[in-house]
Amino acid sequence: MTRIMIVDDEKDFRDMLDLYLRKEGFETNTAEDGADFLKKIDDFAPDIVTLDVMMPGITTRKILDTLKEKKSKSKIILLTVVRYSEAEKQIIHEMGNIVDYITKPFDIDDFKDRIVKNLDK
Amino acid sequence: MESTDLLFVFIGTVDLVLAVGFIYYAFKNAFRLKSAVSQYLMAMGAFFFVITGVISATGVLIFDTIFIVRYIVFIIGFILISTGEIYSVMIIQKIVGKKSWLTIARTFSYGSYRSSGILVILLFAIPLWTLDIIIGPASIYDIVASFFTLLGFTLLITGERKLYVAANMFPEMATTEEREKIGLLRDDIAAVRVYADIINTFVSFGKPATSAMIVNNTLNKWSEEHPVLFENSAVGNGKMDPCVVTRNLDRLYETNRLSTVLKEFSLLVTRLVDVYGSFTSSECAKERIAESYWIVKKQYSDTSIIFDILRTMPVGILEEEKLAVLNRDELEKKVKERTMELINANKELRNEIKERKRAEEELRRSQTKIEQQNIQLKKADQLKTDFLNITSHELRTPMSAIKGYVQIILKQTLGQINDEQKKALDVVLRNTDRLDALIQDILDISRLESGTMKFVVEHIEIRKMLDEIVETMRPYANQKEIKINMQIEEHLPELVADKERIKQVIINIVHNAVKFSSTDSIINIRTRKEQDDILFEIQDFGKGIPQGQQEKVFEMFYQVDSGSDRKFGGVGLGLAISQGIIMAHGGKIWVESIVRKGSTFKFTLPLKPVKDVESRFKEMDLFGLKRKRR
Repeated sequence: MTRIMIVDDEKDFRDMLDLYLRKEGFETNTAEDGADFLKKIDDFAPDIVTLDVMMPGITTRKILDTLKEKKSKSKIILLTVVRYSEAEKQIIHEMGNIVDYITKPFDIDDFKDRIVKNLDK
Repeated sequence: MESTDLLFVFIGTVDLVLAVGFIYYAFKNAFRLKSAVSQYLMAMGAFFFVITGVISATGVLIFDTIFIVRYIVFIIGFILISTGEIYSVMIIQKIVGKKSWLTIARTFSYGSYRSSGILVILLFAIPLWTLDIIIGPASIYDIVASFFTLLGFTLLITGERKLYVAANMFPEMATTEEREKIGLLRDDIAAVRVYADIINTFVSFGKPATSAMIVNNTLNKWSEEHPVLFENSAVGNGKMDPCVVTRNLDRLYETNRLSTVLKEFSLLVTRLVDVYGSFTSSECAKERIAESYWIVKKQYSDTSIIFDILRTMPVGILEEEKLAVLNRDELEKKVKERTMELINANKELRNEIKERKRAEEELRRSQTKIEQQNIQLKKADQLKTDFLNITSHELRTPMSAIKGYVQIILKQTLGQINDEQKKALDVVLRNTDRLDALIQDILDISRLESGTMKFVVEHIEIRKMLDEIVETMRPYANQKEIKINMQIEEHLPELVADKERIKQVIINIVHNAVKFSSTDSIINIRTRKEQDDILFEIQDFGKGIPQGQQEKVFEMFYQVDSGSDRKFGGVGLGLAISQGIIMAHGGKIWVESIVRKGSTFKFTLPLKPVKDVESRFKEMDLFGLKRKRR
């Protein structure tokens, strides 16, 4: 079963995604911030991580750097509220295994489609 | 003829030539200096030497006793030359200062060659000639005496030449080395002495109270500036002793500071001439001042004049030609006028300075104020940007959760729901979307207005973009059975712009078109190249916009028909945002409309992209908000 890890500091949003993805047949796990995520990732070894870019504590950059050090194979979908330019995406891409960007709020069906599409890649 | 006779002829001829040379120099000098008595005396003495020479050269052929005549003539010539020389020494002594052995020695060294010539004649030639007379002519003493006479003359003439070289009267006679060693050295001293004398002259001229005061003040000031030069030189009444100044100068010489001092000193005189020039009406004074001024102006370029003055001054030009009595009344009147002018000018100047200082102070203050305001503005701007970013995140996060849960329930993932529940949740979802759009609009307009909107510029394939838009809008248009037609010109070049933002503009216009069209209508989207732009047209056949309101539709919160708009929803921000986006890209947006026939919204985008959309954007006051605020 595909394992998805939801990393978001907003509990309600995190729970909503968790519930939805479980109902859609994915194996899920959640983390409330960067530190929590880095603690859990080794055991859970997710196929895909949905990572909120604006969280308190450890910066997204630091998280991505740590993942790189760990040589993590997990694909990452960044959840943002702003759009990135192609140049910015290029820079972000070099920081880690980023496969997609989704701007909040989104349509949940569209969200699932993006996960499935990226899993197949 | 005997060989001794030939020798006499030779010696006599040389004597003759030398004496003529001496006369030439002496007269030339005397004419130049006009009243140089010493020179006349010396010239006369030399004339007697000429006769001596003639006698030496010819007398031997006539008779032996002629030697006695020659002797007498020679002695007279020598006395005359010596008198001239002594007078010369006296003159120089007067210039140099008090009489003392030291100054006499120094004076003699002044023309050392000439002086040694006289000494040679006095100590050797004359005793030998005397012996010659006693023992008999044509003796060995005669020959030796002639030799010493020759030597004495040579030295005399060389000395005379040296003196002229020193005086720079015949600079062509001097070698470069001589110029450096003698010429400049003498010139410096001479110049300074002239300066000292000029100053003294000024002081003695300064009879009217005001001018005396000014001169005194000036002198005091100079004494402060050049204490070394003026040390112990005051002799009362504001006068100073030039000899003391000269002595002070000698001291400066030893410390190698003369050139600098001299330069400054000449500057002082220039200034004094300036100050004093307006206070005197005496012809002589004017002449002197003009002369001095000229000297100072020329500095050292022609020092012969300086030397002239140096030599002639003690002879008494100043003493002899007594100064014409100054017309005191006129002078004082002039002084009064001048003083008044000065006072007024001073007052004006003071006021001007005060005014300027005040203005400067004010300028400084307002500058500081502006700087502070700028800092505050920047802070406020940053605060606003931060606020917008945080708000954007904070408002949309709860929306995301609400929207997600409603969608999950609507999908019946969490269990069956009935039609009424579904209907209610549809309303929740639609309003959530509306709220999200509204938040988006408000954020957009705030960013546009504050110049913080982010533009992500990329290459756009127009046809593909329009396809995407129609795809998005079709479900909404289908609700009212409205058809969307596209007419896209073939081979359109790519655009360079923020694709999402351009899409936002077109979607907004199409959305409005659908909103204001009646059921079963048509919407046409046309695109073509026009010169350097791409033109977009969105045509509907709806209710249209009245002529007077066509420009206002791009204003914020403007609605064509407030009554009807509530029915259609929206807050009237869409077109204002669209205008902002298009203008930021360097394009234009407008509407052509006929009431009840429909509207065509048109906008252009330049093919050559605006270099820096964001910063260009910050320069613009798109919605006149800044204007309104003022």
